[in-house]
Amino acid sequence: MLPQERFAYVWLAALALVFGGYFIAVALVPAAHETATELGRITLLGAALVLLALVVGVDRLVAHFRADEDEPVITDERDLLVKQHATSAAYYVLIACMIVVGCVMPFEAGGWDIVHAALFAIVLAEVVHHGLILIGYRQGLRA
Amino acid sequence: MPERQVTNSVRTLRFLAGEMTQADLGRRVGVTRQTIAAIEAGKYAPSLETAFRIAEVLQKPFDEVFRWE
Repeated sequence: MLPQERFAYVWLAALALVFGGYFIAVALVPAAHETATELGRITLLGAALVLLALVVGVDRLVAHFRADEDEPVITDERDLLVKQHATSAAYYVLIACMIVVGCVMPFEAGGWDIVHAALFAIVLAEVVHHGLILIGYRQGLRA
Repeated sequence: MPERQVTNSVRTLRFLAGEMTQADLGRRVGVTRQTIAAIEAGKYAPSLETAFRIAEVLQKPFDEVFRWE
């Protein structure tokens, strides 16, 4: 398995674990979140982001120390093509979501609803990005 | 109109070229071993430049390595 492919798996797992947990917690215990102080809400969000950074960072460190010297990690044209396809699709997902969050939601919602919607949009775009990277490597891609 | 695609004989020609490994071919062409495996499996159609490099390394005419059918 290519390092890029493994990294996409780790990202998807980390996003599912951290933000899956975060959004489920916010949705299932809305009262707790609504009665929490601003500092409490920011702390919860900060903890989720730090956990995500830790998971991805630890994976990068492990990959660095386990790197095979006989097979150096290089980025070739196929990697660039897979990345390009995934990035373009994720960009459009992010733009569409941000139009909703930035142009529609302010008329109907406010505060943390918008924060969570924006966060969800970013997570969704990341899931699309890394998901398409996996599909690109697994099923093949044609320019 | 039937869908046509790029096919190749890289695997066979690699074998005939002294059982060259995918890693060796990849190193000489400038791509990863996994990309050579994807090309052989028909999961990836390489750029024209890489295709010419593969033919050059395998010392075969281009149309003997890649076909459009």
